[in-house]
Amino acid sequence: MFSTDLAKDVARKIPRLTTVPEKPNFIRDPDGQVMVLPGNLHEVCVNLRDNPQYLFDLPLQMTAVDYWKENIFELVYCLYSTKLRQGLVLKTQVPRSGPEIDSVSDVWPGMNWQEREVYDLFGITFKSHPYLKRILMWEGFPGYPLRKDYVHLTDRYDSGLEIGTPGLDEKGIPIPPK
Amino acid sequence: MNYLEGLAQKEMLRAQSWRRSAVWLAGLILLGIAGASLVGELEPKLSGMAKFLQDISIQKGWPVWIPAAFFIFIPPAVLLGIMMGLPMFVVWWERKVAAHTQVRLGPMEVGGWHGWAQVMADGIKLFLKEIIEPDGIDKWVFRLAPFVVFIPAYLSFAPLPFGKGLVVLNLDTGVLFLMAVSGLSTVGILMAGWGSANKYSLLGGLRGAAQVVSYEIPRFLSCVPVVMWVGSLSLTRISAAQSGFLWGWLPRWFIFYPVVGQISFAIYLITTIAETNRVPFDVPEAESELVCGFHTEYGGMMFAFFFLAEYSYVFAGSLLGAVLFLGGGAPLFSFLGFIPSWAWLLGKTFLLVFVFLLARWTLPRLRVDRIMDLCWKVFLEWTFVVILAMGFVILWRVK
Amino acid sequence: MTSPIFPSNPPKIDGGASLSTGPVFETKIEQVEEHEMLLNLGPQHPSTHGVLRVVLKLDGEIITDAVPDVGYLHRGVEKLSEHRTYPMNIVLSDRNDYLGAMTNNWAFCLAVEKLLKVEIPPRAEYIRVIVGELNRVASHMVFYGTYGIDLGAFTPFLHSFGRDREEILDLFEEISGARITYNYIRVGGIMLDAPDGWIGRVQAFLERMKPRLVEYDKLLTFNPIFKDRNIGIGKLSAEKAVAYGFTGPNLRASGPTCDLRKDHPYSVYKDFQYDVALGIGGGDCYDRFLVRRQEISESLKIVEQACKKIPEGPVMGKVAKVYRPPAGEVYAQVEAPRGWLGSYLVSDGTDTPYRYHIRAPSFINLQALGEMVKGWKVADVVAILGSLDFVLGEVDR
Repeated sequence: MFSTDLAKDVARKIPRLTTVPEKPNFIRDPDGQVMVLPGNLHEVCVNLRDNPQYLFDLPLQMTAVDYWKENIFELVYCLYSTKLRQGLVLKTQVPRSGPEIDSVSDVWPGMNWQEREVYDLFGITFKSHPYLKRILMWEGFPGYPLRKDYVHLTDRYDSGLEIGTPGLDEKGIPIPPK
Repeated sequence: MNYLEGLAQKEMLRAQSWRRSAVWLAGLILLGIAGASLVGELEPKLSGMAKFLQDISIQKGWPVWIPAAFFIFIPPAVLLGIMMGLPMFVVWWERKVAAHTQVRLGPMEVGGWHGWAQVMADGIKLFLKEIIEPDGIDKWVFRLAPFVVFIPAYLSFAPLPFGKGLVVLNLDTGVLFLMAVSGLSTVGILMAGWGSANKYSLLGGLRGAAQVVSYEIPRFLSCVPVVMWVGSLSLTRISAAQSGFLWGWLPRWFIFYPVVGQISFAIYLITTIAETNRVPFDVPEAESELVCGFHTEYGGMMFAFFFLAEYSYVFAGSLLGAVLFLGGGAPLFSFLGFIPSWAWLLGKTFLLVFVFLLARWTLPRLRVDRIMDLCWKVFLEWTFVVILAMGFVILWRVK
Repeated sequence: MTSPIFPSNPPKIDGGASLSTGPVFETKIEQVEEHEMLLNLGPQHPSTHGVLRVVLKLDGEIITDAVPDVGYLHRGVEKLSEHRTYPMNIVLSDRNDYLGAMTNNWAFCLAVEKLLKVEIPPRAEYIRVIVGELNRVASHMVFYGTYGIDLGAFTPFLHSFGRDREEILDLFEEISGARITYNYIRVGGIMLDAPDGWIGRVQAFLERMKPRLVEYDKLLTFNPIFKDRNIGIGKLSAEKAVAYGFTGPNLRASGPTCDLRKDHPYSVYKDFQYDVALGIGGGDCYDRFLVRRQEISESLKIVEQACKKIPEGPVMGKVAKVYRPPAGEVYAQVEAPRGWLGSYLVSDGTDTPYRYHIRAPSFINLQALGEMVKGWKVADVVAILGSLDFVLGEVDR
């Protein structure tokens, strides 16, 4: 579904896209991925969707990874073309302090809730998103749970039963990564 | 038990359930006949007792209202009481029919044989339950609604003949009385929907009112051909006019009347299913959308009234259908004439009730605007056609 | 140390600010005109298939706006998975799409196997296909039954869910020990080989299903009232469906023939002959129903072929007891009953994942609800919700 040749082809033909640099001792599967700077994301996405050679019309998924040590959030967009039956992985990086990026929910409406989920769980703001509110956690929830340095504050929904599960210390607070 | 044994047992249970359904069907018929025979035997005894009382009062010089009171009140009360007990039986039967279409067994425990006492146990349970009134209801509207729905159901049993000469109130305008009285329940549905402080109930109540009021028209108009044919609105006279055999073998039931009889019977049956809010027309209490529709907020005895009212209407509607279209007491074959008229009438009524029950457990629900379309664009037109045809036949006969 | 249950005085964060007093149920609908009514198809409802809240703005019976509100079943699976080893994560993954747990396990295991580069023996692949397709049949039977109930037909539920699906669950209980959360497909193969005669019992089940499918069609598929309730309702054009990220039966009902098992075959799907079910009328509820009904037949065909072709042999590849996949990221997908279930896995070389994201098809399919429902009546909302066939466990994770 994803192929390296396609990724290289796309990186060559579409402006402002590069292939993802190799990382030592880090397997990338699919091997072919393309990278874009956060400022150019919206333009590149419109291009990828409308370009008759590629026609990436299905927004497969969108997620974020918190690289705590490198101090960045990496956003991963997987796209698929139903007409040409090929897929592409698009990546972009935003700094961990003040993460902000353009929303692509006007390019593909299917990215709407996925962006809300990333905002809810990571705190990455999407500019010009039609309705950027928390979707899975409740409004007013303090903090962004999927960040590596998230510390859970005891609220009225804690019962004390979760102490003893892996990853939590004896007070029930998640152990932050080293 | 391992998997194969479990499978074998399941197959056995499935085979047994066919035998069981045959057994309970036979038991049901026997029970119906036994119950009706009780009433049938009571009637001559009751009028005999009334005459005896009259003679004694003349002898002993009692005031004239004592035997009169007995003669007027007691036999109808007995009849009415038994006729109100039969809808409970219909509830049990519905649960059994539902279970067997759904590959399961239904009530089996309460009372021993196939759970015949289940309905009575449920009635006792409902009687003892707490009635919870939500906050913000319109108090008296909420509390009166179950009665407004139930009392017309009770009243509608009055002009219905139970057999030859077994009628509580021998009205000359029986059909008209029935149609008018069942329309009163609509007010109760609206009261229930409005009085519960609940948007779902309101939706259910409004849908219910629209549907019931609309379907009364084709229902009444489908009874008109029979009335035209017999020339009277009285139910006992309609029932009597359908006795006898045409050409020696075809019973004079209105359903066998060419074309007109069949169409008007079909329209009557479907519109009665709609009037009683049963699937496929159960939008007022559409379970999966509106939880319980207009009676969501009712519990305990108030819910029991709605429940009993619905099944009373089903039974009364079937009884009316049997009287108007299926001969009402007249036998199917002349050699079966020894079976008393109330047994025939009960059998025909339960046949129609069975059609009601089967329809509920097989068909999905129609959407509310499609139901209205069906009423105003299909049934109404066909009732006009049928009345017109009947009119022409009568004119031709008169010539 | 015991923490208080439901503490009445929430602790203060640094800086003196206190926690919020509780959840705030905001949605997008703020303006309600005078003739309109706001109705909450609330979290507790017989037809919302779980804890889903849809806020409807009604004008009489017609819907002018609809906003779904999810998150009532959010259990933080992605956060939990970062603190659990890989075998523990398979147990967690069962509970996402609890009606199709085998495919959840499969999606996770495919991702880890890509990183570990482990060879899966052919018998394990065949059994994976058999249980995966049987799980698809079971899930579609639940859809069939519950869709009937949503529309008022109470009987098909007991035929499909109460009788036929129970037989599938009995088969699954024999092979894995559980009825719903199987934890059966493991990294490298499957947990245990099928017991003696299991394949024979599967084939006997297939024989018993043939007349029952005819019964299903008589009850619902060709029922005129059912067709009246479904044809033309909730149409979603192919372009919109693709733009919303629809996959699986919902997408195939609207037009495009995208089936992961045919276009990008994984496991041993190349060896089987089957058709891809497509919609006929442009993406209305009846199409979605027909596609799933057809998929039951096609999956039974696949199971039949797999039962004939299954080889003997081991069922587990060479995998260490505690496996530490090399550092890297991987994206793997399976064709789950609800769509394309994908796992995006980032590993850092330890025995717990660094990041595990589940591409949940139900979550992405549910976005289109607001648009699909506008202009239809309240009764149609239930039909459209049912025809989308989502599972809240997957939507909220």
